[in-house]
Amino acid sequence: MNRYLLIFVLFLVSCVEDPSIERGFYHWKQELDLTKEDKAFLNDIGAEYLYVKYFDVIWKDDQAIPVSILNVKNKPKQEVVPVVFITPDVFSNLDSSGVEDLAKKVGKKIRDVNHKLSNFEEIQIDCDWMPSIKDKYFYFLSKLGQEFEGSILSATIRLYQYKYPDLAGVPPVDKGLLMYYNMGDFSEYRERNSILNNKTGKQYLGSGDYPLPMDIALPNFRWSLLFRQGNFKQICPNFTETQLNDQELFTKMGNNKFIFNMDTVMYDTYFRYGDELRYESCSEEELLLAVDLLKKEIGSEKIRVLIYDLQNETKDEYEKLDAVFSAFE
Amino acid sequence: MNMKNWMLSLVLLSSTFPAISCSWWPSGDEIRFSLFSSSLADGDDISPLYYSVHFFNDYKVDEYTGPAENLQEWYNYFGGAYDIATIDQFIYRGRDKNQDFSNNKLFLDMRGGKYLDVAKYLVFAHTVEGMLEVDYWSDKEMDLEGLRNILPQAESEMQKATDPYLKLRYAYQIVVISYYTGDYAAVANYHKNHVMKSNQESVLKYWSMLYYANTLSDSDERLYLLSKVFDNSKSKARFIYQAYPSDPAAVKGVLKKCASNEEKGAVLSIVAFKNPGRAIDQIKEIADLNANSELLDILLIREINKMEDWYFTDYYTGFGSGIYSGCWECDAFEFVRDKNFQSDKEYLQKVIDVTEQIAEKGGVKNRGLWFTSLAYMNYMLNKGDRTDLFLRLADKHADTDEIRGQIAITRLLHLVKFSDKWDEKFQKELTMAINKVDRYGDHIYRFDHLRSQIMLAVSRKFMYEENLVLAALFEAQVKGGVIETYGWGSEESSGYQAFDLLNENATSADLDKLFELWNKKDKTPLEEELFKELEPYKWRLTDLWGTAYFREDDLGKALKIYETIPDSVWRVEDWRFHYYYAGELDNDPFESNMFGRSYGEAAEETYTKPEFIKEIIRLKTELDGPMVKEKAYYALLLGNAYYNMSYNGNSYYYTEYSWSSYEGEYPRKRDYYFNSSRALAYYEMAETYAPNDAYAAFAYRMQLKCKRDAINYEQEKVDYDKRNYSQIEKEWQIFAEKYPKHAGKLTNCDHFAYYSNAWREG
Repeated sequence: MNRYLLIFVLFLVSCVEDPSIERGFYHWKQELDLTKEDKAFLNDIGAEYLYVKYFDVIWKDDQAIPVSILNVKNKPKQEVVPVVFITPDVFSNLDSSGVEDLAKKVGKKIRDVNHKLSNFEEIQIDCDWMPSIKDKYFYFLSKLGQEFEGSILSATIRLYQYKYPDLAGVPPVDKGLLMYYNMGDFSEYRERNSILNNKTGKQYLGSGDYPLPMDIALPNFRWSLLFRQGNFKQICPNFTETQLNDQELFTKMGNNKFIFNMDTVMYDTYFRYGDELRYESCSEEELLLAVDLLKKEIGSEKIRVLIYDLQNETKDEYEKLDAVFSAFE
Repeated sequence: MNMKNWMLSLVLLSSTFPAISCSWWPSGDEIRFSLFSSSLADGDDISPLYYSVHFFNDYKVDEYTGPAENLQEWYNYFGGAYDIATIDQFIYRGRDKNQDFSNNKLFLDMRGGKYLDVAKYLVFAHTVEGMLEVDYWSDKEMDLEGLRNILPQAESEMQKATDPYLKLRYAYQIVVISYYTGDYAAVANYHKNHVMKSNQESVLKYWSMLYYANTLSDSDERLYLLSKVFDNSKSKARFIYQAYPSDPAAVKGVLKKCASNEEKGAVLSIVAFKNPGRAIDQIKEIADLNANSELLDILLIREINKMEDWYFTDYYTGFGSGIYSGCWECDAFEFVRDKNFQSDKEYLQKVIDVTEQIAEKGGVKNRGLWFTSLAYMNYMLNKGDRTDLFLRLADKHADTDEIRGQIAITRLLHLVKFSDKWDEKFQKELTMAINKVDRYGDHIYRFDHLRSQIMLAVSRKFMYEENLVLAALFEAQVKGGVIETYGWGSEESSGYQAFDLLNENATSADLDKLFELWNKKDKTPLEEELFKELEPYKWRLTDLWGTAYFREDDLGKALKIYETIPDSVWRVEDWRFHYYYAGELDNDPFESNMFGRSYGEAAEETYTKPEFIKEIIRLKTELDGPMVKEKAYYALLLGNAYYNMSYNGNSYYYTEYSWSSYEGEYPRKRDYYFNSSRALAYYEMAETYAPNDAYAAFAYRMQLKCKRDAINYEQEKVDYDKRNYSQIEKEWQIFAEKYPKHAGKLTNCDHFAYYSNAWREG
C-alpha cells in the first residue's frame, strides 16, 4: 500500500465516530515464545496486535549497536508490529553523517529479525528524545520511513513531548503512540507510584490537539524500587507480593513500602537491614481513571490501545484488562 | 549534630557546588573506599571478579590485549627472547591494520626466517579468528563455510607438527572450529584424544574444556567441567561466573561428581564468588576442603574489599556503601546506619576469627597474604597491637612485591592512626612509610586511586582530631584516581580541595595556625613537601584567611590580611584557580534592595574585598560621629552592606564562595549568613535615628526582610510537615499597625525613590 494512501486511510479512520478500539499488547522480552495460555488469553481478550520489541540500539564503544535481539521461538496469531528501542545517547553521540547509515542498518536488522514472522504493516520506534537530539532523531525517522516505503511508521510519544510539541518537536511519522505511564521520577524517594499516577498524568493532558493521529499505551507492570537510606539504588523487578508480605523479612509501611528486617541476599543483591522497597503496580481503579482522562483527551476517535506489557502473569488478569479495554468503548 | 553527621555534611559539602546537586553525582566504584589492594593473590586475568559494587569490576590494570596466562606461555615458549608487550602486539593485535610492527622484534625475526612454523600457526589462528567474527548489524556473519573448508588444513597441520606446543594449539583450533560448526562429536574427540592427551602443560587444555563442557546436555557434568576451567584459567572466570548458579543448593549434583576435596573447593568457590553479601561461612567451608587454593586467597581479598565498602565508604566519604547519596533524610536513617555499622563491625571480628583459625591450622599457600589480611582487618577494627603483631608475621612470610606493598600501606596507616604527634621523629617515620609505599606502586592494583584513598584516610584522621591544618595538607594530596570524587576538575586542582575543606570548617584561629606553619622558616622536609600543593593557591587561601575574620566581623584583622594580597588578584577571573571575584562582585553592596537577591542591575563599579571593608569601616566611624541627619542613612547603608553579603543579598561572594538554592549545614557556624541578624541590628539603628516617619518606615521595611530570613532559617530546622511560616504574616501586620501611612506604599517599588531618600528631609 502506498504510504500516502495509508495516511489517508488513517485520516478517514480518525474521522469515524465509532468509539470502538483495537486492542493490543507490547511484548518486551527477548524471547518470543508464547505459551498456550498466553495465546488463549490474547485470543479471548480480543487482542489484534502484538507490538514486539525486536532489539535495542545502544551506544557502546563509540558506535551504535543492536543488543537484546529478539529470538523468535513461535509465531503469534496477532499481527506483529516490530518495535525498536533506541537510547537517546545514540543520537547524542552519533555524528549527523552517521544517521542515514544507522537508518539503513536498523532497517536491515528489522528485516533480519522478522524473517520468521509474517510481513508487517507498521513499525514503531521508541526513543525518549529531547530537543537537543531531535534534529538527528527526526532525520533518522524520515530516512527509516524511506526504507519502509508503504508501511506505517509510528513513534512513541512521552507525556512531556505530547504536552510541549513546540519545544520537543513533532516526529515525522505517520502516527504517534502516547505512553501514558512512567510519569514520575522513580528514583525520587518521596514519589508514591512512578508508573501510573493520574494526578501527575492529568497535568500533561488537556491540549487534545497533538498534530498526529495517536494510539495509546497504558501500563500493566510492577516493580520494586530499592532505596537505601533514602537514596535510590536499583530496580528490583522480581519481588512478588507474596514475598513482600513475608513478615519475617519485611515490615510493611503504608500502602506500598516494605522495609527489610535483616541483611539478606536475594536475586544476587545484598540487601541490608533498613533497605526499603517501594512496590509499584497499576491497580484497576487507577487504570480506569486513566481511561476516563484519556477518553476526554482523544474524543471519539477510533484508536488502538496497547497494554505495556505482556508478562507471565498477564494472562491471570483477564478481567482487569478487559475492563480497561472495555472502558474505552 | 554528632561526629558522623558532622563528617557526612562536611564531605557532602566539600565542593564549590551545592551539597545536594540535581545534576551529576559520583556513584558506585567511583566512591567505593578501599585501602586493600585487590590483586594481591593473582594476575589481572581474574580482575572482573574483584569486588565491585557493579556487576563486574571493569578496571583492567595491564595494558595487554590478550590474557596474561596465554601470553606467559608464549613468553616461555620463546625462552624469554621477547617481552610480553611484543608478543601481545603480534599475537593479539596481529590482525589490526593500524598496528605498526616495524619495531616488533618478533615480527622482524619471523620476517627474517625465524620461527616459520610458529608464523604459519599464527596466520592460521588469525584466519580462524577472522572467520569467527560477527558484525553487530549482521553485515558480516560467522563464516561457517570458511571454517569447514579450513578444518582439513588444521587436521593436516596438527598431524604434521613435530613441535608438541604447536601440535596442541592446532588441536585446540580444531576444537574451536568444530564447536562453531556444530560438530560436537569432533569437539569431544579432539578435546579428549588430542588436547587433553598432549604432554604439554597449557591453559589451552582448559580453554578446550570450556568448549567441550558447553556441548554437554548433562548440566551437572557441564558445571563440573566448568569449575575445573575456573580453577585453572582465570581469563575464563567471567564467563563461568555468569554460567553458574548462585544458590549453593543448585550445585549438589555437581559436588557429587567431584573426585577430590580440591575439586569440591573449586565448585564452592564459584558459588562464593557469586555472593554479594557475607561469605565468610562459605570461605570457611572451602578452607576446610582445600586451604591451599588460590581461589580461596582471592575470595579472602574480595571479602575484605566488601567489608571496606560497607564499613569505610560511608565513614570516609559520606556516601553510603556502593550508592550515591544525596542524603535528603540523613537524620531519619541515622538509626539504620548505626545499626548496620555495628553489625558490620561484629562481622569484621568474625572474619578475623575465622581467618585466624584458617591461617593457624596451616595449609594456606600464601601465608604472607593471610597475615597481611589479618593485620589490615585488625587495623580496620582499631586494634593496634594485633595489627602490629600480624604485620611482623606478614613480614616474615611475604614473598611477593604485591604483599610487601600492602604491608607497607598497612604499616603507614597503622603509624598514622595510632600516633598523636607531629614531631620530627614522627614526620621522618611517616615520610619513610610514604616513600616505601610509593616504591611498591607498580605492584599495587590501581595505585593512583589507592594512594589517593590513603591520603584521604590520613586527612580524615587529622580531621577527626580537629587538626584542620594537617587535614587540609593531606587532603591536597588526594589526587589522581579519585579526583572526580573529592574535588572537581583536574589533578592540578588538588590543592583546591584543601581550600574547600578549610572554607567549610575553619575559623580564623585555624587559618592563623595554617599560615603560621606556612610562613615558618625552618619547615621540616615533609612540611615543605606538603605545602607545595598549596602554593598555587596561596592568594586564594590568604583571601580565605582574611574572609574568616570578615565572617567573624573582625574587620581590622580582615583588612590587614587582605592588604597583603596584590590588587590584581581581585581583578582576575581565572577559572583554573577558581577566582571569580571580578565576575561575582558586580553589584553595589550598599544598595537598598527590598525584593529578591537578583533584583536590580549589575553596578558599573563595585568594591574589591579590601575596598568594601574600608568603606564599611568608614561608615561605622561616621556613624559614631556627631552628625544627626546622616546617622540614619549611614546605619541603613551598613544594614544594606551586611544584608547584601548574606545569603539573600546581592553580594554573597564577599564572605562565601558559592551559592545554591539548597545549602546544607557547614561545620562552621553560619547563622549570621542565613538569618541576616547583623543587618537587622543596623536597620533597627536606622529606624531609631530616622529623621522622619517615612524613613523610619523604610528602615522597618528593610528589617522585615531580615526577620523573614530568620523565620525561614529557623523553620528549615523543623520537620518538613511541622513548618510554620505564619510569623512572617504577623510581622507584616505589626509593620502595618506601626506605620499605617507607609506600609501599603512599601509593598512595592513605586515609592522606592521617595522612601530611600527620605533621610534627607528633616
